[in-house]
Amino acid sequence: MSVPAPRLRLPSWRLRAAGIVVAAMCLLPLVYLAGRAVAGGGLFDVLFRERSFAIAGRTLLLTIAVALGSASLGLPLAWLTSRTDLPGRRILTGLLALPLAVPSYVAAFTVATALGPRGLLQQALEPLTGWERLPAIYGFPGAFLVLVLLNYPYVYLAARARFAVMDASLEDAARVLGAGRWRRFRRVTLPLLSTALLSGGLLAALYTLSDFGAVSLLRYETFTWAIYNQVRGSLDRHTAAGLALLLVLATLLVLAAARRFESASAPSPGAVQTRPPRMQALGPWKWAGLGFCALVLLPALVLPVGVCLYWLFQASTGAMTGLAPALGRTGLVSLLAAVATTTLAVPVAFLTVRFPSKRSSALHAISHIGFGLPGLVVGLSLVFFAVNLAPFLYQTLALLVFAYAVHMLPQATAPVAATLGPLSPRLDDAARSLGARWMRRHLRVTLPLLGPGLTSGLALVFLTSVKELPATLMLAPTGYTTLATTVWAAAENVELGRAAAASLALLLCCTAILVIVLRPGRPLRPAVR
Amino acid sequence: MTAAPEGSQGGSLAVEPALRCRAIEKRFPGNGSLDPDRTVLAGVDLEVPPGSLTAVLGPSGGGKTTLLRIVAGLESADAGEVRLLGKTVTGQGVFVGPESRRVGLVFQEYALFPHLSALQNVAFGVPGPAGLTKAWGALQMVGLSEVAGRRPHELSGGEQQRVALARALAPEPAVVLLDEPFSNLDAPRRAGVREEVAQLLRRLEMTAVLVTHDREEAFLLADQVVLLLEGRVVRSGRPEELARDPGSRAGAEFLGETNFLPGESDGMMAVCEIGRVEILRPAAGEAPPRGPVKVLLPLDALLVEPFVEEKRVGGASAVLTRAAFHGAFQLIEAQLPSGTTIAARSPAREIWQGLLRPGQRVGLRPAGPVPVFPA
Repeated sequence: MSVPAPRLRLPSWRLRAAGIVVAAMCLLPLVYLAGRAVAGGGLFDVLFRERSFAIAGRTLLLTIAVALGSASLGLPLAWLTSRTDLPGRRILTGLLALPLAVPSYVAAFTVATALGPRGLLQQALEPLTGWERLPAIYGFPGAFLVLVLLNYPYVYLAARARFAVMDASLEDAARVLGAGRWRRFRRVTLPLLSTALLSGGLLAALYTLSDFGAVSLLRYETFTWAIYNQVRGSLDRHTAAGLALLLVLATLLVLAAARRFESASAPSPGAVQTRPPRMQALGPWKWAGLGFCALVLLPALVLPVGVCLYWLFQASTGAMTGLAPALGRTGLVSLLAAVATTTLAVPVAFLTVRFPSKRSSALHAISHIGFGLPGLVVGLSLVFFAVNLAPFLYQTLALLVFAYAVHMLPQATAPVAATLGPLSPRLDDAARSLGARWMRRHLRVTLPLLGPGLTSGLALVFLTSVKELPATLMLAPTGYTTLATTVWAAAENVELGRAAAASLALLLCCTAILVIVLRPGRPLRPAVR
Repeated sequence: MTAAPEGSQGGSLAVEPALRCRAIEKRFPGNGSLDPDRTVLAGVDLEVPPGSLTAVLGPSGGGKTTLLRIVAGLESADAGEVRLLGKTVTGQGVFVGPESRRVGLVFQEYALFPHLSALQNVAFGVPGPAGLTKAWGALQMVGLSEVAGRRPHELSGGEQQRVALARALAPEPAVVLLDEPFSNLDAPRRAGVREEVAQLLRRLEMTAVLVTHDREEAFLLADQVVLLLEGRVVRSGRPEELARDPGSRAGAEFLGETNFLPGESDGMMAVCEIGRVEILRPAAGEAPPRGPVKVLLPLDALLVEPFVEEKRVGGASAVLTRAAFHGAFQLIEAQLPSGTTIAARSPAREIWQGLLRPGQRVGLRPAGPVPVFPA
């Protein structure tokens, strides 16, 4: 007899129905947006407008520059922390990943007010140098600086992961073959790192494409800011839809490329490290290494916090009014989003893990669409949808929670699926044969076992919701200001004390949740052989 | 093809069987023309008398586990009927969910709930405060009351297996199903554990179905062995009946430890290279085949003796090529004049006496009637 085919079992009707509902929810924004853009003529319009080319050109320039900039910061930092005897590299390893948690609008507003033409730096320097203005930070330089400082960790983390599994004997082999230090790096190490650099760089590019906070506050008109202005300023929704569709296409290109390199960067079985790598002794160069780390961490972490504290102490007490309700609203909408998204993630995880098939991998792909789309596009498409088809939903909390769920679903699916993966489906069979019905099985067996995955899913979605800006701006009911929209609006109106207070509240909130997520969970022995 | 156990079990089946499967069919759907539907069970009949232990024996992929899952209600059947204690639970438009079948199940990998203690695992199927007492009793019964508070990963493989058994037995099921329950234990432990399990099941007069691919295990533990090959029952009966007559060539090949010789049958006797042998009547009661046949000679059905010309009554002479010492017996290989190699098992004392040595001529003759199958 040949190798038996894997046992094919069909999911229950409950699961199948849930899967269909989730797929429909995830497809809705994109399909509706595409329909509007094509049918309304918006796509045709923008394709033949000179301004569109300028926007596309700026977006492309910024995206490529940020990807390259992230690679040139991320690679040396990864090398310094994983292959050298840099002092304090344990703490630095964690600190260097932290800028990922800083919202781009917080970084943008602090960088602009600190390093701007008449910002804090200029004020400090003027008595010494007499400079009345510093070079302009608005436009490309500021957006580039902020986005590189926030996105280099993608390259840094990918390169560190690659260093961790790189076989040191390959470098030894090159050495024995007479290759000098530079040649070894160029011919052996760099090619081995290339896939990690590419996938990390593409992630940085993806986040640059979808960023709204930094480009809007630093006045660099890329797709996201242009779309937002189109909707808010002229109320010309057709052009906005056309631009949004172009942005979606650009995003899909980067996503496809990222996916290709993501699979290529997984270490092949033969490339797993067999010997611990030799640590490069830095000697006196360690000061240069530490200086480099400081040069990155100062503007990426210290500056946002420091500048916020400075503005807070400068501010009048009026800056704090309305912050507590905004904090409450942020908490409420994020909590609702976390619960809704994680609930939707459970059937997706079950279908993809327990019933692998063409249909469930289609569901997996569909559930990632909203995740890959910029938050602004998800928000815009739901505005369209609600205004035209479901006016009763427009400007409701439900629609905002819906947008978050569509945008963040994979963040909840991934940890739930990871917890579910090693659990034997026999556990459910065992519970059934012991007489436990649906409710009891899921309350007594499934939920407790999925606990760690559900917790991380909830926390991750909560964290992302707290930080989310563009979809919130587009969809939040009038007057429903959150911490994120408060920071952005206050920064726009140069209410610096208010922006700083809201930013600090936001950063505190995010740090607290990160601590929960990163806390090592109690390891559960999976019920497998 | 099915084999009704009535013929082999005689009067013992006058009582209503605790579990009866009739003409169970199951196909798993394929994925288009390149991957056609796979028939896993093609009309399986099974009768398990109350209080007895039946082993379903067959190779992996032969449909054993699927049959068990259908009995438990974890899988539906495409056709056929399952009756438990005289009540239809699958078939005839009826499907009773596994939650309400009163079937205990011991999984190959035990499937203990990792977040519950041993006692909580056992108590899962017997809710309520009274259940805890019952669960405690079940745990005591398998001798594990002192590890009641431990989680599954803190238990050894053998202890996990006993917890799984206690968990299946605690709700006092109508029948307990064991799916390769000993395959995750290491060899030295396995023998003792399976003896204990069989004794416990007997003491409780529990009706049990054991699924295994291990011939020795099935023969050692079961009252009735059902040989399941490629979705069909090729033979069922008491272990010794199966050992003697595996029901078909495929059955004989799966059970192993046998020789096939070409021969000619007249319905009563068959002539082959070791002479005229008496034909064993097939279990199903049909007439033995006539004409060219394959004569089946189990290793224990051959007598091996030092060759003495004048003592020769029947049988054949062969040259001993190998004699491997296995403790209580020796495994012998001898070459017949035609060049065919034949294997046999012989008491070890022959070796001690130095009577059987490679190169020596030996006499071979059948110890009794043997089955034949159409060639």
